Amino acid sequence: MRQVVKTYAPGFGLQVVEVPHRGGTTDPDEVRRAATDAACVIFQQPNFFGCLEPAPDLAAAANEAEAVAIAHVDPISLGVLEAPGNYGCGLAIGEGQGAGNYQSFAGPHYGFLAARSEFTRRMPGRIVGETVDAAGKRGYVLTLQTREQHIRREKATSNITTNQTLLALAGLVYLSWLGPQGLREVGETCMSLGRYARERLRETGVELVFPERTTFKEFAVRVGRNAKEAIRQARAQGVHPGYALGRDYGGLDDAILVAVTERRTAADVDRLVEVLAG
Amino acid sequence: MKLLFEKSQPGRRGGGPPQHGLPRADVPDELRRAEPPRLPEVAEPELLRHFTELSTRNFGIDTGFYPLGSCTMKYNPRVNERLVMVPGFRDIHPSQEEDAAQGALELMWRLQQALIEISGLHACSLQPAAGSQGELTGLMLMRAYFTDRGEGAQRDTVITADTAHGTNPASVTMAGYKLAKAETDARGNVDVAHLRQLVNERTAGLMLTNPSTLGLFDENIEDVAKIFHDAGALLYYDGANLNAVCGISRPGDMGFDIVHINLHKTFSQPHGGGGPGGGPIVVRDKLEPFLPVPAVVRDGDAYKLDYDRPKSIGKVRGYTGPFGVFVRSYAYIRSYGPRLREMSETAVLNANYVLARLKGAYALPFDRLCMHEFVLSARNLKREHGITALDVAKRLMDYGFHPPTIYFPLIVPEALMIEPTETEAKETLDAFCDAMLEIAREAADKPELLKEAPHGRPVKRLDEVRAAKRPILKYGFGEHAPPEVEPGEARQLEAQKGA
Repeated sequence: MRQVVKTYAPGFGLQVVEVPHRGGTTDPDEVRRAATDAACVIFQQPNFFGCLEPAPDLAAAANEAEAVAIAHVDPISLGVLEAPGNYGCGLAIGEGQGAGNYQSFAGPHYGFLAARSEFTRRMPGRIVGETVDAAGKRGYVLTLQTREQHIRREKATSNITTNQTLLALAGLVYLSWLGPQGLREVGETCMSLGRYARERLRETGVELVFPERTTFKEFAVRVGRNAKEAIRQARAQGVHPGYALGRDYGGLDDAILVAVTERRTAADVDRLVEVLAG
Repeated sequence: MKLLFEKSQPGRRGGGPPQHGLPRADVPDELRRAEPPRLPEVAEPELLRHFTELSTRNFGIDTGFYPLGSCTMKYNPRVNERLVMVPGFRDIHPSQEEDAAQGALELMWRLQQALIEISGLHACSLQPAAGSQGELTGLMLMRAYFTDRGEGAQRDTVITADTAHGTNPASVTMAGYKLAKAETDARGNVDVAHLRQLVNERTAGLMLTNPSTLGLFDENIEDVAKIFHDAGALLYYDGANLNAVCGISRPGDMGFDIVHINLHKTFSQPHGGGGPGGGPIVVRDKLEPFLPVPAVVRDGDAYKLDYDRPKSIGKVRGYTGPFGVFVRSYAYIRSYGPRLREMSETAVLNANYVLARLKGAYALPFDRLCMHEFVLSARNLKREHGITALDVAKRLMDYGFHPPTIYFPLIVPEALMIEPTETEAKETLDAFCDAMLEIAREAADKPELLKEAPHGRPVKRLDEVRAAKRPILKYGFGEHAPPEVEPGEARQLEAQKGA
């Protein structure tokens, strides 16, 4: 995500400033200082390492600096984690793959952008609104189209036309199937399985990279040898243990980012532990 | 019909995750959700029926003819849906090591090769998620190219045609360029004399669709390319209308340097209310160093992701693009093989057949052979009977057809932009033409029938002004208006809400 933001920012005349993580999460004071002249502060909850950020404090830091707080969230986490709109964020964005789409080697998936109503007329893309027909019957139309490229052309809020509606529809069906209770249970399952995996791995001598942090779905472990080598060995035994963090971060060549979601079982975790510890 | 929220009963649900009986992991108090999210609460049968009923209220390519101009609403072969669901495609993670994703990478590489051949250019990136992102990526390539040559600050303007899709000028602005607009001449080509006035040392490039949104192949395209290349500028091909020329002519041979291809138009996808899409870009060799990373490359018998591109504009999207879209489009291209030309020839033939049958009844602003689509005007019906393009479009729904694109391109008053595609039978085209001709007669005999159309759809004409003036963009729970209310009553409800 950081790389994509850097690609787009110059065309909008924006500069990207990165606040480094401290032990797996972000320091709100550092965000406050960095945000003095910022248009917005974007943070991820959970972040790339799977760690839970002090999200309400980060949003407060952004708001104190009069920057828009933007939370990049995993929708599956929002049955257990507080909604960004309830702790001062102006926008919430995210990837919907985990909520109703196949992995499919990165797409097609849906993303989402949710905004406070004050931003409505600046949003990109299609927006559906409710209205009535000539007989007073409820119906739906694409609305606020004077934002859009086919009407406003070079003054449009974006160039977007084609979208990922079919994938978003699958997400809608999935979230409607879960309901509030089901969504919470999926989040709780991710967390309890994740805790079980972390504890089992620790018992076998695998070290957590950020042992002090609470995590959701993903967490980083040190495997005591080159991570790429460890992944290759594990794959030979039929287990793909995760992502080699050395690809993105210096000093983490022996670290793997492990993901444990509701799709796994305790037996899957036991097998992972066996393979990684072996 | 009721909304899913209105069918909701507390405590009901479709299902949830398997229970593992493991101890709970606590969420820190300051991060825990205080109130549960207000999602619908319905059992699975009600859920299934709800969405099935909604689907019957839609008109789609699987329910009937859908000649929506510039959108290339062709049939999506069902074999593509089977291929995309092959577990080895469906269930692979984008972070898998290259040696664990060779099949996916090979498919992407082969699709790139096919698009390079179709475009007549040299290098391809599949990363952009749809045409609009392809356009933006192409313009960022343009900027990177000129910046690399030390002309980045000097070349600050991109030219588009007055017939351009709205995305073109919108992309120009988003990429940080100034916009200049070229006019259309009397034959429907870009006005070459006007272009000569516009092009100068500040010009970065031209964005053009060929055939244009009028459905006309630009007869002066080589002269146009020369004007820009002589000025050191680049040509960008908006591939929205590529379905007209595959295997017949190539944008690269016409002189274009950057092409985006709408996979979801030319090479078939499900049309799920506007997506999914895929917007690969294909470029001339001098622009290759600037393409997004990672590039999918072949190295002997292996396929790799190449991040070592120091001049690259970076990433425009997470990972390597909408892979499922690639599977379907690659299958579509391979199903034609070397006969791909027949796809475009049939699309052009179908369009000219419909044009020939309709041009007596509707005005034809540019009377030429068309390509894969054409633009009629209802201005004769408006002048003689007060019937607009909108009335014609609404009445077509009563005959069981999706309306064409209307009021676009902007230079044609009362425009009706019709694109039949190659996947329609002659009987379907004839039925559509019969309906259009009947509507033209109705405009004279029973104009009120058209003014009040549609008559047989789930809703009558919808109040768009009201929707925009007092936007209702999310469910209001206890305060939401019921499905059927008198217009006066609805206004009252809204006033109470004070929303």
